[in-house]
Amino acid sequence: MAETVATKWETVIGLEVHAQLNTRSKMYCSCAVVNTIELEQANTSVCPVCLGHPGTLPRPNRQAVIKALTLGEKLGCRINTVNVFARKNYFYPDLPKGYQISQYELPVCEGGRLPYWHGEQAMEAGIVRAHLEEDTAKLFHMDDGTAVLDYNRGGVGLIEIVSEPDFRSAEQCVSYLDELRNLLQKLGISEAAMESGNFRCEPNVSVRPLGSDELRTKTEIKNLNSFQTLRRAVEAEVQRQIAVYEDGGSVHQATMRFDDAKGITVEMRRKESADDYRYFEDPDIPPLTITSELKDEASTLVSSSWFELRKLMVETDGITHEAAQTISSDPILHRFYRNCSLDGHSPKEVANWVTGDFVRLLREGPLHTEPGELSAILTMMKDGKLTRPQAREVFEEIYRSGKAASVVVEEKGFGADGGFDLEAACREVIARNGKIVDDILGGKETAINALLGQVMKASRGGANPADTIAMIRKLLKLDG
Amino acid sequence: MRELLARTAHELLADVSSGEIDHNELQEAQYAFAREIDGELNNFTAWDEVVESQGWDLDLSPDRMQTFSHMPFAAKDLFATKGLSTTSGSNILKGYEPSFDASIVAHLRQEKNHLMGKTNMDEFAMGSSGENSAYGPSRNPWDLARVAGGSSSGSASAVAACQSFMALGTDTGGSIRIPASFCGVVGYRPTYGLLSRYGMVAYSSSCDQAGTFTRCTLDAALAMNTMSHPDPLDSTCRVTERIDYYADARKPIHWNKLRVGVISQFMDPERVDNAVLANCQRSIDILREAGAEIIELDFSIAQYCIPAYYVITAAECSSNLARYDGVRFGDEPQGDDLLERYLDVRSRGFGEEVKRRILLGTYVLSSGYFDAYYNRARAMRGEIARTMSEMFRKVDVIVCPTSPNVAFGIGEKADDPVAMYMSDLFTVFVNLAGLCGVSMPNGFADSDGSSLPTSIQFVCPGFHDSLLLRICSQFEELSAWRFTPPAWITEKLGA
Repeated sequence: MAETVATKWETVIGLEVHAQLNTRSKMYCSCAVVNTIELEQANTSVCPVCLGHPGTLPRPNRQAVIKALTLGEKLGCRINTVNVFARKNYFYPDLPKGYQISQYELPVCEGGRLPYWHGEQAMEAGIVRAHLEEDTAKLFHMDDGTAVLDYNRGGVGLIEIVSEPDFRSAEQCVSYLDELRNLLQKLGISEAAMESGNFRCEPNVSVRPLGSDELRTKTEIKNLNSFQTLRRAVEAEVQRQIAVYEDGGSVHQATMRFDDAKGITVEMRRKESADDYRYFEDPDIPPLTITSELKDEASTLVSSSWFELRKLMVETDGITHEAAQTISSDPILHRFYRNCSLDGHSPKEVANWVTGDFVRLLREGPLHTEPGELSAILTMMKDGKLTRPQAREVFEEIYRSGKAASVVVEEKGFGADGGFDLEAACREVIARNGKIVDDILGGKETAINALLGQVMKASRGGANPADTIAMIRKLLKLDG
Repeated sequence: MRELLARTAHELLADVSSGEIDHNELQEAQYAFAREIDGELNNFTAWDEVVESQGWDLDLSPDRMQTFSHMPFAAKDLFATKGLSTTSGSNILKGYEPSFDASIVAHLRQEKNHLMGKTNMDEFAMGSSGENSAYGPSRNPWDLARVAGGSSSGSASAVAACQSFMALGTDTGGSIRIPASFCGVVGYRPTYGLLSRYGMVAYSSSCDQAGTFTRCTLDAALAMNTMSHPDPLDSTCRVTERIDYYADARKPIHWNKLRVGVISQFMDPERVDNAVLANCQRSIDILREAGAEIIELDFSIAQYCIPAYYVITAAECSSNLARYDGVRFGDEPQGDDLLERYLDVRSRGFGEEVKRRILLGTYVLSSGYFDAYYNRARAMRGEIARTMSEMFRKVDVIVCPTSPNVAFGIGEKADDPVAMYMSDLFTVFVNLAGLCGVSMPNGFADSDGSSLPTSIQFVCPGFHDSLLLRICSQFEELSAWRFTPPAWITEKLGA
């Protein structure tokens, strides 16, 4: 019996994969992406935007777009020059705005193929599309019957990858998913760990008489958290559908869940017609044009793999593995690193800059400056026109304001000699701090640091600490 | 000090900067007067309880752009204000205090202006009379039995009643210009994108636009200088350069070089009250006598503006208002399952007009109806924009009455939503086509024994705001119009 049924029916599966992007900030706001492990950490990375407060507006994450382009290029997708963000409207407690900002008619990537190994057999699956969207908040059901929400996950970038119905068995699905997961990890797009919930898949399952090329009514299986469950759930659903047809019945379009204990699929809700999400273009986000600059950044990441980039930086440039890891995983950091190094600055020095303040600033707000400006600051520092603290102050300012470094240097009165007179400053601080001076002269030489601090402050970071201490000692005649 | 409250900000700023007027005293006097008379007007929904005197030091650098600064102001209740109730005129947001300031409010506060409080409005800015507010209607200071116009009702009435020199409003289909017209003040709706929308509770994102109520055009220009900045928090904000609107508005106009368009469909005695039409005609005559060339324009698709507008805005609002679902906003939901709880919170929390538009919007976005309604409305919007840009090849500015009628009695149109929608007949094309417009008082009309203000609307192409304000400011001089408050206000001010 089992053999006759198996030879009479063919399984048809398409896969929808949601992978959480490993960008620094969320999809439409600047909150850091964090993974809530303990409930105490819930709602620590939230802002009015990702909480959906009235009046707030989304702004698409550039890094997320680059990651989507990277995947699109690798999958051989057609990249839409104009991208449109659309609202998917539905009510659920984990959806703060009452709609999810997704893409509908003009997604980033359309078409494409992913080759994968199924055992020793090379296979290929068609890709319908890959688009960007945002994750929902996470709903926790408590023991007392109440539910609580963690918005840390709300608004984190997702890429949804939809395959053609090209799979004929659960095993093929697993082979494909394994390849896709590896690809996402290698390209630095997603951690793609199924157990952490940042790689989720929903199979669309139908069966048809063997030899037919019709597509019968499909069901969608949700909430699968491991490849093992996926395998069992798909097999159970296939058996269920075959049994329905064998009994002369018909399969209804529905969303199913898998009951692990009983090993069967259970209907969650039936779809009488297609879900009506009332998609429409989000009027808060103007259509996004994929510029050649964005494409170039994505290509750089594809052409040299993460491994190769890091190898080059460690072995040729001589920077630490830790710095190389940070830089190679981020297109913006990499662009600044590469351009400044090409301008002749020491890779170690450049690496210090882009992995230090830069990373912090990126977390705080949008970047408004270009590599050439950082390069100019480094040159001024090399020429002794800026001290390191001054240079950091200038960089922070240009990062936020987008002004030219030279303008900021002038505004702040830095650069050249700046008219700062170390001796005069030291004399003044000594004159103002009789008590500290008495302490120093009384033998408590560490008190000199208090004076040093004041001189540094007066110079706005421009004075050299060693010179300053020498000057104070000289003026107080400490060295004989 | 009180007698100063009927004047305009730009006049007073000169004395403030010379130190002749103490701006802290001015702000205190304004705050006290606004509170004193609000019982009669119902214009404010919340007051800044914390600070009565800001005690600010004067900070006016002489060589920078003139701005609206060191002055008291009021903001429509849909601007997010840090720590101050923001309810958009709705029960569903009662008790909400934002943790941030709307971008333009932040700019005003940075320039040491004192936000006195929040002003009454139609719930979620849906309405043309101010009667759809959870707080009850604002009253028109020219006749307390009449509406102030909507949706920015409290802001318009407050500026006319000398409760504030300037008040912020928003205009989605006429919500600044109509109440400005009913209350006899200058209502300016800038081009979409010139003022950040960040922190404005959304009604219809593609049409919503902040703007001002003032007692003269120059004050509106001053406020623009303070508020119009690029904003990375709003992807639809399109400010690219700093423009000195105030300096531009003061430049004279060569009237004989100006081409003024008059849309014949909007001068139709069948549609417009006689007195409104007569006053508009007189304003046009003033322009003609000054040398302007008057060109008649045909706007044959004018009748489609209202339907297109209501389909688009309803669609967007059905999505924008989905977040008020009882999870974080609204009363404690009652009901056994999720659907019941949603129905409970939203049925009780929203008013009738808001529910009407959410239902309409949900319908036009549904599959099967999307193309028939939403897409056709969008296509019509494109057609209207093309028609307007055609017209602006022939003329520099278009004029028409702001509203077909003067302020009507409270309750008079409440039972006829479609009649109410028609109030926006002359204003929605500006929003649909991305233009900018000013409603400018141009006289009074008698209606059932009351004398009520009428207005003329000036409209320029998108991003020609500087020209628009210049025309309006020069028209004030030409027509010798100067704001005077209603008699009972003047009496109270002792001016």
